[in-house]
Formats: sequence, structure tokens, C-alpha cells
Amino acid sequence: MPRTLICGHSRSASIFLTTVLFFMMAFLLVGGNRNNAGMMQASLVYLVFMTVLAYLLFRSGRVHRYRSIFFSVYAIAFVLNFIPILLETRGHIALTGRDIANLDTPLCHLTIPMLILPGLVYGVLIFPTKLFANMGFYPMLFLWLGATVVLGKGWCSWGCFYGGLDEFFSKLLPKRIVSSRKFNYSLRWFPFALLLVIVVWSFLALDPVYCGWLCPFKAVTEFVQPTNWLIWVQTGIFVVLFLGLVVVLPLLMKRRTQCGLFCPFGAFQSFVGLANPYRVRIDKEKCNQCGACVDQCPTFAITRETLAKNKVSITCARCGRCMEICPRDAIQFSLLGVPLRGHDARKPGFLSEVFRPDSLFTFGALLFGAVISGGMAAQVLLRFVHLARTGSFLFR
Amino acid sequence: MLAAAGKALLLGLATGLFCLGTCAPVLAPLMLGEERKGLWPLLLPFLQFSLGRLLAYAVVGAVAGWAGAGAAPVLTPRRVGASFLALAALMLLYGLKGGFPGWRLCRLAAPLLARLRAPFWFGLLLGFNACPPFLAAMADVFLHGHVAYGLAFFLVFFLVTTLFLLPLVLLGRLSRYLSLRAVGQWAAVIVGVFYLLAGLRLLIP
Repeated sequence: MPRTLICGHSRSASIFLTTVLFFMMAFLLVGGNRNNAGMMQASLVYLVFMTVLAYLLFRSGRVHRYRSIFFSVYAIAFVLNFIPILLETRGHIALTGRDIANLDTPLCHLTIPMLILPGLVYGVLIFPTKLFANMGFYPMLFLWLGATVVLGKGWCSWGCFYGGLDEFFSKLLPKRIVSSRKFNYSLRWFPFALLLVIVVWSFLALDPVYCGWLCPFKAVTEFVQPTNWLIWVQTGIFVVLFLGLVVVLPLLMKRRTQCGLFCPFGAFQSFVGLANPYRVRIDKEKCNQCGACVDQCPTFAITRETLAKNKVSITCARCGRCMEICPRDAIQFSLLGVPLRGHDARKPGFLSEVFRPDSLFTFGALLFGAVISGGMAAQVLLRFVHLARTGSFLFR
Repeated sequence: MLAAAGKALLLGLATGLFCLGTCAPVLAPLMLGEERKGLWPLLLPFLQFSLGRLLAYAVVGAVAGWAGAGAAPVLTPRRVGASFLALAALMLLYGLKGGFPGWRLCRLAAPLLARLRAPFWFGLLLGFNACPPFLAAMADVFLHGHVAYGLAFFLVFFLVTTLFLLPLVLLGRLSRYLSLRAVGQWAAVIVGVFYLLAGLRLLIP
């Protein structure tokens, strides 16, 4: 592959951006844990980790590489924290009829598209969760609204605590085992079709059907306790989808197959994410149509057809991979309404570097990501310390 | 007959949104899945689909009235299950012919579906779907036990619920976008799998 021209920041701009980010993260991560010494120390460790990553990201310009480390750590921390919390608070992972009747089911963002129509038409919440508790309806709604404003579709690469698992497995093998040269790119519209079907189906059944039948992540979070053959079938579907889409295919193809080819929330976010002003754009004067980005895009958002029009598809998750591998530096973050010439990454000057669209986007994304992952990551660190001291991963 | 028409009108108006929800998963992929330029190509699949539904409703209305007069049950699980399986097969073919045009089966499916007037069969087979509004209509007709009453009731019920489906015709305008056609085709595949499972569940005791 030809040498790439990744455009990092100067040392002074990188230090400035990282310092501002450090203080903001410190305020939000550590400030809330003043009464808990253990959490404060663990948050400080995570703060240092995020600060080092941020500096490396700004200085090198390798958005994808360092985001990928953060994103994988975040997703693994989520799973390692979520299951122990269930065991500590409920005593079991599998949902029982009593848990559902008590509205004791944490809500995740994947349900949001299914909740809208029944909520608007009938005024009901069709998910057995509490309105205000941790990971209940309103906290998740506000988290999603915030993410949509700050990240847009970038949620899928910076904020989603499931997406990092795809990312992690897609990075494990050094080389691709299954080539995607003959890949059927019409499959990337499958999540939109699935979104359409589950929204209508959930409205008719007044039940979040995706959670009951199709969510691959039930395999690593919580699932309904199998008490009859139908629930066993549902559980089997979760496991098969998880192993297939999140583990095996990403390993073989080195792409995020669950995110790019299945996730209906990703499709939903493609629409609502248009509210965010940041875009990935291809400079037609620099691009020579070599197709390196088509072959490497983790979420299948660039095809030969879109590249010929110098565009990325609506499904682009702002992961930064195409920018890293483009041999002509033709792909970059851009701000809606500003022509590409208006934010040339190589323009000299401290202020023009700091206010580059990629600086602004990655700054906001890192801050948002650090804040929502901070609590989980710190708790997992404490759990490891607890494991070393007592031999148990659970606090009680 | 006026009583039948009045009741069917009210039932249709009250439950039309539910009918839209039931028919949209089949009709929406149909309207989106193929490029449709001009008014006639836009209206034709909707009219064919509606004709299929009308025929199914007429049959069910007449048989429900006849059954109410003391004859056999109308929609047994086996019959509904069989119609679901046939609908599933059609929808899978319809979706896959676009999704995997390179496959031999899919290449063969396209001309076959065109010759069959696929939308008509979609409407007919979906018309036997015993959704809640449909069951309410059947119960009323069954209690009256007259074939003519059943026909009149289901004819009006069909006309009123068709009004709710009309906006879906506009989806056909979006079929000029390749990406949305792909979405329509994949939706047909997903809905096909759903009806396949629903059909099997009804057929296997």
C-alpha cells in the first residue's frame, strides 16, 4: 500500500487541545467522585489513559487507531461491569418474570426507535423499565439526545458501548481471511429494512420485538430466563447472532459486520445524525479513485459508486479509517456549509489548527466518550483490584 | 344492508391504523422494491394488491355469513398457515431477486413474479390474515349468518381500510433511489422470514 499522508497537529496545538480536554475531563470524571476515594483514584488512572490517547491522536492525526483503542476498552469495560452489577443487585443475570413485572430491566439505546410510535400514538412505554432509575428511560433518552447533537452518526464509533466489541474483534487478526472483493454492497441497506420492520412490528405488537428476538448483545448482557422452548429458541438466536456478527465475521473480514450490516439503531442514527454538522468529505481534486477506502471502510460506507461521486454514504460512522489509509490525504472531516478549501488540514497557524473541523469533532467526541465511559472503566479497574485482594470480581 | 355498511364503516375508521400497520410491512417493500416511473406504474401494483385483498375479503365475508348460518368454520389455523407460507415464498423471491441478482433462482424469479402479477397474490394471501380488526368484522358477520350481509360488510370494510393504505402509494415515488429500492427488497426478505415462521407455527401443532 502506498505511504499515507496523515495530517497530525503541531506539538503546540496538540498540547493545547490535550490540556483543555484534560481539565474538562478531570472536572467531569474526577469531580463527581470526591466522596469516594477508590472511585476517585480509579477515575484518575482512566483520566491519564484518556489524556495520553488524546495527545497521541491529536499529534499523530491517526484518529482511527487511537479511537479504536478507546472504543474497544470502553465496550469491554461495559460488559465486564454490567454483568457483575446485575449479579450484585438482582442476584442473577437472566431476567425472570418478577424482574419484568417490577420494571427492573435496564434500557439501552437500541430500543429507542421502537419506543417512538407507541409513545406518540398510545402514550405508553413498551419496555419494562423505570422512568428515572439508572439506565431507565429518561437517562437513556438524554444520553442519546446529547450524543446525537455532539456526535451524530459518530455515536456508532465513539459512544455506543456495543460497537466497540465489533471493533475489538475486527482488530484481533493481523490479516483479513475473507476478502471483501466480491462483497454484495446492497447488504449495507439491510439495517434500514430491519429498522422499518421492527418499528412497525413493535407498534403492532406493543412489544420491543428486536430485544425479544434479534439483539445479538443479549448474549453478553441479560436475556429472559429460558423456561420454555420458545425462550430457548430466542436465546439461541442471540448467541448465534453474537458469535456470527460480532465475533466470527469481524475476525474474518476485519470489518464491523454487526454495525455495518445489521444494527437497526445504526440505520436510525444515520437519519437523526444528520442534525450534527460534521461530515466526512472526499476532495475530488485530490482523490485518484484508487479504492483503498472502499476496501477498508469498517462499516461498508464507501463503495465504488459513492467514491465515483466523491461521497461517502449516509451510513458513515465517522471512525476515521478512510482518512488514515488514503494515500493522497483526500478524505477529511468537514463542517457543513464550509467548502473543503476552507479548512485545509495543512494550513499553518496555531488557531487554524485548533479550529480545524477534525480537531473540533474529535475533541467533542473524546470528551463525550470519556464522560460516558469513565464510570464504567473506573469501576472495572476497582473490580480488578478487588479480584486481586479477595479473589472475587463482585463487590458483595 | 345499511346496518352492515354503517358498522363496517365505523369499524374500518376505528381500526384503520391497525390495518395500515398490518399491510404496510408487505405493501411498503412492494412499492419501494422496484423502480416505478409515472402515475400508472405507481398505481398499478397498488390496484393489483387491492384487488387481491378485495377478493380475499369477499370470500371471507361470504363464507363467514354462510358459516354463521350453520356451516363449516372459515379460517382454520391450517388454512391461514398455508396462506402465510405461500405469502412468505412470494416475498422471499421478491426480495432476493433484487438482493442477489447473480443467483440463478433469483434470475428466474424476476420474470416469474412479473407474469404472476405478484402484487395481486400479496394482497390475496395477506387478505386471509386474521388480524384483530379482521376478526372483529368476522365475528359480527358470523353472528348475523347471512351471505349478503357478510359481502356488504366486508366490501365497505375493505373500502374504508383501503383509504388508510393509500398514502403508501407515494412510497413508490421514492423507488427511483437505488438505496431505497434495496431497503424495500431487504424488507421483503425480512417480512418473508416472519411469515414463514408464523405459517410454520400455525401448521405445526
